[in-house]
Amino acid sequence: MSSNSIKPPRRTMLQRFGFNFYDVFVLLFCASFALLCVYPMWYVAVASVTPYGEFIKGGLMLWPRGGVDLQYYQAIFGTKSFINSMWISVSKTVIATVLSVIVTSTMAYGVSKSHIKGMKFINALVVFNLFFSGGLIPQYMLYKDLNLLRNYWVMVIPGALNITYFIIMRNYYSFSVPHALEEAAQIDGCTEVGVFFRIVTPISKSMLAAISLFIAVINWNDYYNYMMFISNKTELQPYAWVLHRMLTDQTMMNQVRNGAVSMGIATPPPPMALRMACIICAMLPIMCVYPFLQKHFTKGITLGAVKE
Amino acid sequence: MEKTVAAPRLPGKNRSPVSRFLAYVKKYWFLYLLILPGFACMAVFNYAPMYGIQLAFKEYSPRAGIWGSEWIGLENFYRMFRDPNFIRAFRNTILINLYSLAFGFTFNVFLALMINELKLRKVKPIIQTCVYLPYFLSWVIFAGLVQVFLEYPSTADVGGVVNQVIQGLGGAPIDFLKEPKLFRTILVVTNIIKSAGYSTIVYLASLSGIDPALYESAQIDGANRGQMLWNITIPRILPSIMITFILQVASLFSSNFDQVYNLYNNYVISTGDVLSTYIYRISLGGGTDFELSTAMNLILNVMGLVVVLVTNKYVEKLDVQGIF
Amino acid sequence: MKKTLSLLLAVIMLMSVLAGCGEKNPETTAPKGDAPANNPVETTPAEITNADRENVTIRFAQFGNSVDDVDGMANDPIKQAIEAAVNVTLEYDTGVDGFDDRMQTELFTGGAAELFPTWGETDKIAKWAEEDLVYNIAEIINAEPERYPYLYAMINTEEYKAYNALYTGDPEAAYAIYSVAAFADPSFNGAPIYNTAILNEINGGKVPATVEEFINFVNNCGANGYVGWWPRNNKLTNWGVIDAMMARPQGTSIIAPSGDAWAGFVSNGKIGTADEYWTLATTSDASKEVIKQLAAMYKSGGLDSGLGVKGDFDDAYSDFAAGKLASYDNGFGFPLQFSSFLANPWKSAHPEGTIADLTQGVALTHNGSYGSTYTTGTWIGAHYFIPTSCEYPERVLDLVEFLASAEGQDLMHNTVNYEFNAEAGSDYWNGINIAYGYQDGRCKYVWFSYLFSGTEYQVDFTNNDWWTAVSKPIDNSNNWATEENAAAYDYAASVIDTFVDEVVYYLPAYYNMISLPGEAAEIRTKMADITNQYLTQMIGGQLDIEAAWPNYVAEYEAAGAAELEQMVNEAIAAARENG
Repeated sequence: MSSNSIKPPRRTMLQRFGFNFYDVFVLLFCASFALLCVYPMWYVAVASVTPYGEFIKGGLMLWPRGGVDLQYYQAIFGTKSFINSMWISVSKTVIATVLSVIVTSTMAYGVSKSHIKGMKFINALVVFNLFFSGGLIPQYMLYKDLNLLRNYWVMVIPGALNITYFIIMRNYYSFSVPHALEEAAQIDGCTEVGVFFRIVTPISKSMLAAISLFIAVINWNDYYNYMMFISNKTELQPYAWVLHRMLTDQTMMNQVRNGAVSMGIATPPPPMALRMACIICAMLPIMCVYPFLQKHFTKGITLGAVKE
Repeated sequence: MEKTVAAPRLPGKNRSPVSRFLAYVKKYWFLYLLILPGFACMAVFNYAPMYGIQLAFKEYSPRAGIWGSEWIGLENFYRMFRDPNFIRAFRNTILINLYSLAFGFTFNVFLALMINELKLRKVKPIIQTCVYLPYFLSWVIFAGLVQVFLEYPSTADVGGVVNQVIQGLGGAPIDFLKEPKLFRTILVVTNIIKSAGYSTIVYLASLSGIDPALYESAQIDGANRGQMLWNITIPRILPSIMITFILQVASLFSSNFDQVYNLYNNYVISTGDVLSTYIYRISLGGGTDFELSTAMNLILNVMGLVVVLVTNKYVEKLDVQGIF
Repeated sequence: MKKTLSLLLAVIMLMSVLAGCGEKNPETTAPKGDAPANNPVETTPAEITNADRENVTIRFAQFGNSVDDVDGMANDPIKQAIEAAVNVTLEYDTGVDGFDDRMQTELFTGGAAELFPTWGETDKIAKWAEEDLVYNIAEIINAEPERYPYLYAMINTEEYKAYNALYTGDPEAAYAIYSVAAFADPSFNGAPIYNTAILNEINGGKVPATVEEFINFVNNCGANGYVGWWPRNNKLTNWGVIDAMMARPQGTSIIAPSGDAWAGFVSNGKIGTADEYWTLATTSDASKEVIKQLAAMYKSGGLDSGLGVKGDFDDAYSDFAAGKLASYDNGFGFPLQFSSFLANPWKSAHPEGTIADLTQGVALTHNGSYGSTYTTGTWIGAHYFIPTSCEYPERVLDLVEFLASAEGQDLMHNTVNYEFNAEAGSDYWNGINIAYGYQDGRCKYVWFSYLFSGTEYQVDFTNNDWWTAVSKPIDNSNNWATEENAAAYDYAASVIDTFVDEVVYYLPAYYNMISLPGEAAEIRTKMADITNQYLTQMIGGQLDIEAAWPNYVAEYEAAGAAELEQMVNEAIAAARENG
């Protein structure tokens, strides 16, 4: 790590003002990639407020031509199943995320203590699941026996243990939580219970925040469990499913378009614009939560570290 | 760290194994309690249905159930490998994943490093949020936008912005989405745009944990930015890189159906057809072939497991914790 | 050590299973309450006997509806009338994505809906019957003819028994309600809709009537800054339209064999006699010429460069509505499609638009003759089953019996006998159908609409036998349509009427009974894949047609072209001899 042999570089005028080409390159690179990423989103946002006659003219859509028109949002919010599905999505995301983070992190912490008998074996058992599953039929029968079919909880409970984040958290607990701290606490008479709640959990807060975000996003976007195991209980459908159907299924589209007509919007809104508006609605909740979590994980986490 | 806490096994001692075991559990009851919910979840939702794997070697009869169905040996596997299109799809899947690993994966790391190097404190979180956005566009929409951007000029249309730029620079327009040679590149690039930002969260989170004092002392030692990047930053996120790497290797044999399905077409099927799209095409309307899909999952997962075990071994040689 | 470990594990496992049970048996109450309340309207029960029977819950599944509007469904008067008449509680179930998978998984695991559909695949039906997963409804119906008069008459017709034999080999065993259907309008997919303004500008308003005129028109559009033609397709896998428009008039067929047994074939020898012989035409020289024409049209810009890449409805519709696209092929040539095309893409973009903005095209001729589109006039729709996991199949059949009756059909298609319907016109229907996502002027109930006939039209079992009823359904859509929709329908129908009899060739009835061997399906799947790739690349210019054609033919031969031709002709001969 020593770099003593390197001579200090000569400083130019610009560098004295804190400018160098490296920084410019970094800035340009990041900014141009960010633009590349933002534009599709911007396109969608603009399309969701552009009147249809303008939209079908095509082109780059840098700005909503022909004024901002919020009728598509009006149509979506006027659809009965929309509000309900938002509510279901929010509630199931919150419950599933809390449950999943608790189950996964506690197990990861336990298994990270690999000197305890059985933990290594259990660890292998968990990781094995990354590769093997029994398939749809046994899964379906199991849910039937557990009375989970057509049940709200089928969207929450089966995914409680997330294998991917189990691995990441286990590595974190093994190598990034200073063991000296734990040992010192134990010498001070702190029980293992105390160590976990008073020492380990507080210093893992930022890691937990980042993982929570990941798991929340997974839960927010999930519709497979609804589609396969609930399916015909409208009052339980999550927003991700509504969005999916808006994108692929004509009947859902008709529903919203007709709703718009009955609300007094003259012609049924065109499908494409409604889709765009739906996407924006799907993103908003996550984007609202994001800054709060981002604050946490910029404070510092390390997901797994070098072996000691 | 002490390795052995348990008493050595001494035969002939008056304490029975059961009581020794109970004493052990009593000592570490809290840790066992902590893993209990996760273990229960796993036992019920992951392991209980695993008997279904035997379907790969059976012909399923709903009346007889999975256990009672007839064994047919490797017939399901023969069915799979007899089909040249399956082999082609298999090859495409691996190639696309390898390219993703080679370019997408490195790009993600590079992007994270670049964002980390940004000096303007106010710009950084904005950039971070921006690159994170495309992750939320579903592939149906994102693929639609890709088509709009890459559109070939027609008599009624000037074409997509990329072709306009190419023409503006004096080049001939390219019909991107119909060119088999370009298709894998398009898959990799669009995947980078869509998910690179999201992937950087892991790295950036680990990077932010680095003690600034390390950089300060390196600066005093006269290290330049490149050296600091190489000697301080990279070692710090190496574990995260490796974990992500292994997890990505684990999915070497799986394919992103939504992305390929929404972007591919008959022009590029020779290079773009992956396992999931192929299966979708041949089974459309024909109902679900549970045995075949179980067999396929089994074989792909076994291969995935082997690859991961090998990778994991090499990764552990780097003195970094793997996934086991 | 090992022993301790395994003991420990055993204990943990036991504990976790116990704990797991506690945790994983959550209250079954969902946060938002249960299924929509069932408030049957107190009407006089139509059949006393049903009122005396036990009230059961029947879950009915149908593809592609919507159950989103909980309030609308709870207040659906037709649902309530059916429930009251049969004394059952109805639960509607639907889906699009994964629907087939779910139906089959539910059936295999003993949780199927009491009445659920398939698409009538022979192998599925045979397997389910063999596995005893679905009821033999003939047994139940024949045991109580007086309870099921309509169904008894239906399943004891010759034609119904012929289908029984086709599916399971046993003419007396019926495992499903067969939804076999005929179009009220002849089915034909080669008549595009033109944008009248572009037609006037390019062609002086003349509708292209021959293949040559159409090619010229399309090429001229390309030269004048329009796209000439968008054949309805989804990423160029649906070649039926191109085939009907361009290949059929020239006496060949470019599609890969799929669907109908004779698809991709042309007939030699007299159909209906022992001389009939079908030849695979997909890779014939005549087909090669058609592909060359298409490639030239593509090159001139007359066919959209997005062909085979862009999506179907949205992209093509918006291009048409934006005035970039001169003609669009809507696929089946039904007058109903013309009227909905006017209402949907066109008037969304042009609120002041009228019928005159669109021109219904005609089928093309070549050397003075129309090509033949072969059809039996009927096709197989969804078939509906009662799973053996259902404990009251006779009650489910009570429901089917009611829906088959004149009263049930009236209720679903006219509701003439119900006072709430009086003179309400299409508003009444929209009021009901809007709850399920439809407001397109249809005057039919969206549930059970495919139960007897794939047309979704009314069937009259009271005055007809089963076959006549399903093959001559009653199309009453215009009775309730808005004035403009009705006018558009009539206009399109009048144009199509001028040529449809020349184009559509009705095959003898035994063509419905063709059953291809299992190997044929495999060959056909391969061929479809080959055709999709070769034709797209040849039309798009990636492959040189002259150079690639021999490879195309060779791949077809390797896939089993000769074997398939033999299988098809043998299957047709067998059907002719049995029928």
